[in-house]
Amino acid sequence: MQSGLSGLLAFQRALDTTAHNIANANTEGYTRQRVEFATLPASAFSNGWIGKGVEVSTVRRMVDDFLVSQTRSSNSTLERFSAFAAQSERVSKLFVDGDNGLSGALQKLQNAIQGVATEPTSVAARQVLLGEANGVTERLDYVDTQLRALDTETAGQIGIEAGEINSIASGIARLNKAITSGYGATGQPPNDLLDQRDKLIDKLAEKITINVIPQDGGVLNVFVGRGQALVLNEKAATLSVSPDPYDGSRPRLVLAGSQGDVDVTSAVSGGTLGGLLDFRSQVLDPARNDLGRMAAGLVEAVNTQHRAGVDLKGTAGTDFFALGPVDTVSRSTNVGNAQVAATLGSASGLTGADYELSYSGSAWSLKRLDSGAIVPMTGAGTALSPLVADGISMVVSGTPSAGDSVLVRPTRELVQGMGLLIADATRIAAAAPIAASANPANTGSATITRGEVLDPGNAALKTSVTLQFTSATTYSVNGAGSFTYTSGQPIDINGWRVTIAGAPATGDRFSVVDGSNAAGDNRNILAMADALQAPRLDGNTTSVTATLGRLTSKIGVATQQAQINRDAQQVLQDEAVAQRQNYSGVNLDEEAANMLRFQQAYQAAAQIVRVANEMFQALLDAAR
Amino acid sequence: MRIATSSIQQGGLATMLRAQSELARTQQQIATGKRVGTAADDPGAAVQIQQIDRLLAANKQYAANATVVTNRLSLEEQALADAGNTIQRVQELALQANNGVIDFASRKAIAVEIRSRVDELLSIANRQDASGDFVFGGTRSTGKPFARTTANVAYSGDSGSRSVQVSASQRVEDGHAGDEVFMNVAGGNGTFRASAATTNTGTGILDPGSMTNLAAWVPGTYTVQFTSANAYQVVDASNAVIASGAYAGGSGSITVFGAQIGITGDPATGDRFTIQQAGFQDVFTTLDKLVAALESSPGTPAARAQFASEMNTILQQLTQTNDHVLNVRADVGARLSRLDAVNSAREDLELELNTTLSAARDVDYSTAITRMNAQMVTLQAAQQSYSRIAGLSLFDYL
Repeated sequence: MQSGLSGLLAFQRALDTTAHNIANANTEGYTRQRVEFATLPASAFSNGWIGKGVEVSTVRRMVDDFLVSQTRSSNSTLERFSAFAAQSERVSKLFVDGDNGLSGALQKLQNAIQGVATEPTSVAARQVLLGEANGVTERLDYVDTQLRALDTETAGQIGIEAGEINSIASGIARLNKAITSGYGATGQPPNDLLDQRDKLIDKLAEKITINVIPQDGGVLNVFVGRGQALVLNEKAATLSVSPDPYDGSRPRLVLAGSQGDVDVTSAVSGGTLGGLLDFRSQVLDPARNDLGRMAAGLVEAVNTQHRAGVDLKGTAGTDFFALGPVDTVSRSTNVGNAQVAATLGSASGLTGADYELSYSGSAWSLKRLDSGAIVPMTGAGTALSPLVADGISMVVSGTPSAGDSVLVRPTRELVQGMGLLIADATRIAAAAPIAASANPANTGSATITRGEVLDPGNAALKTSVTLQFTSATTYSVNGAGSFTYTSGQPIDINGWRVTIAGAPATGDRFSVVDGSNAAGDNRNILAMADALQAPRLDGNTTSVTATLGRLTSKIGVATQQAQINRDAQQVLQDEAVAQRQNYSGVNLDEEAANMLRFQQAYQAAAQIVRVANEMFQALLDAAR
Repeated sequence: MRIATSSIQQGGLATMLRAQSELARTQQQIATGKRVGTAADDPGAAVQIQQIDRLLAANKQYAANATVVTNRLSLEEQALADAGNTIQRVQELALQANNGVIDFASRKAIAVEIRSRVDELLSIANRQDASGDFVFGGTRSTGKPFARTTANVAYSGDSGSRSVQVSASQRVEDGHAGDEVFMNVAGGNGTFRASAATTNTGTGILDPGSMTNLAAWVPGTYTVQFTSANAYQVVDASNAVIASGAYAGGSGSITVFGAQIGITGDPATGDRFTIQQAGFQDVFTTLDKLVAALESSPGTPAARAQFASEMNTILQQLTQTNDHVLNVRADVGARLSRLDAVNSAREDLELELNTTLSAARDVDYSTAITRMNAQMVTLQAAQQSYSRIAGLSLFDYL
């Protein structure tokens, strides 16, 4: 009777659990439960131990810790790649080919320059050049603005992610508490609470890579980054977004916990948050800097050449494009009042990296932020002798104090400040200010180039100069001096350069005169076309267009890599989830079979009760 | 192995979703005809496409440049042809006027026509192109380059010419400066020129001669002086005698350092003929001299000889001028044919670039459609098997 009754109770529990399993077959994060049966302690009799039935020893949650942690870590990786790829794809789209792309705009500018070179007197051709120059500015600005918007958006997303992480972390801490008390009340695991907590931890792993360490009493502690505690026992730390000490628009992640405030921006990895941070440092920042570097090269090429020419009215050319300033930000915690003003030197020295200029108490040192390398500088930091390194020159004013530092971002703001300085088409300096020619009466076979300008600021630039050969190998300048002539060697006087080649005869004359009255001259604009194609970046090894190509492929490769990794990781993740599900998930057929099994056992136990009842009845009848 | 019911569902669903996204990608490639949409699709090809697009755009500009240059050179060639015709007409008129039997009145009539030819030549030299630029102004192409002054025709352009980019590596000059065409015409026969002194009293007529031995020529000014009616000596610039000879029979040729001149008639003692470095004589000066000669009426035998010598010199100069213009024209022709070569090379390049571009960017339809079919079969199979398997349940049999 007793045994039958215990069977009834146990199988009812088992049926209950089966029903619970079936009911939760589609509940996310649900772990199937199984009733563990055990025999009740037997009674000892002289003729042996008589069994007293069955009892439910526990309701077990079918979970495999290894499979769980595998799913989580693979999910962190997957989410990192997903976030990275999704953002990168948007950057990648900004660099597509076609007429409307940056590459197309640059080529249109190049073509418009050629157009003016072909028809320098045509105001229409000049107008086209102004239009296309404006087009390049607008296109660069558009791409830069998009990248900026993406930066702002990424910063916002980082904030949102941090907020979600906080709410999840406090949820885990609350559940830790509930679970501890659940264990304490019955000594049995509160399975459904455990499921809820696991689900939260799974969600947390989507956002950030975590490390879960179990503790006595069913508590799980969660660590992020390099061992910083996010959830410790029943307390959750707060991950907060605080402004960068240099740049307020750039969030940094600070973990406020029992260990005090810790900056974990560079420590956290993985998950959506890690993907966003990686995207920012690996794709967004380099893209913006390279874009700026490209603009610097373009502007340098065009401006330098434009200043060397004269316009339709014979006036010396001025800067063609304006460019934004070199961005310097003093750290908000600086003690001294030193200000650093930085300007661009030669575009060929620019690296696309950002720098930190810091004062040791006696000297300034410059650290490249992407590699951490200290970059040697020349100069003293004064206006006369600025600190020069990697294409930037910096002038310090005020008094620094030891430990002060300034963030220098040479290329970051260049594009935003870009604009066209020439509005009047006749102001385009297509002509060269000087014209060299050979005297037609020369009897020798030497020829002279038309001349180019090296120093447009030279006061004597347009002064007429006559080079007369006093012998086949020597010449005088304006009748004075005797210089050795070498065929093909450039001759530099008054800020211009000409090259005489061939065999001159004694008495041959070459003259260089003011050429600024020549509206049909295209030498300067032709030189500008050459200058644009010349390698002038990366230590004069890469042209502006090649830099764009390199940037395009860099972003393309990063995006493609992230997509490939994401797709590969998706397969791994699916596999891990399936494995975990296969162990912990509900199989309805299995539950159906269990249901039959427990139903039959229950019926059998009920029969036992009936038989026991009949036996008891029989005994009562016998005694009547 | 145990499988969770949700695994069966999610697994099937994931397979279908993946097959669908692959199919969508293929479909997009087929619809756009492009294999590479963003840089991430194929970074290598994306950069290549960017480069080729740029080269194609540049090529288009070079083609436009070449058209402009061709137009300009054609215009110049037309102008040079017109100038050549004018000069040839003047040559004919000069020959006609040089005929001994023609009288002064007829010569003056010829001079009138030549004057109008000079004006015609001047207007050719000041010709403008469709956009108003002067063809022969050098790079000062917006100002009228040739203007008549009281003494002669002055050139106010410069000696520059424009180079225009017609391919990635080639530049062609789109014209010749006016001074080169009309002003810097070599004098005499190109090496030296000969003239008779205006003070000559004899009837010796100069034939300006030719260069017989260019290697022997020493640039300088040499004077043939007749010391008597049948003897001469040659002195150099410093009056040192460098040669002497006899003159007989009313004609003779004298050679100085390879420069040979002829004299016919009877020069008088003291008559002088000068041989000097050719220098330059512009077209207009030559024609002005011709007009001046034709409008003079030589009365004395000496003056007639003077006239004949002058006409000989002018006729030689006219030939020289005509040759000069022809040479410039030949240069224009050479540039035009070079442009043809450049154009066809550029068209070849364009074809090749387009082929490469298509290979890098465009979808290979046969591959893409085959792939699409295979993906459709996969998707269908996944859908069918899913609907069958997901429908199985033990509960159906209880």
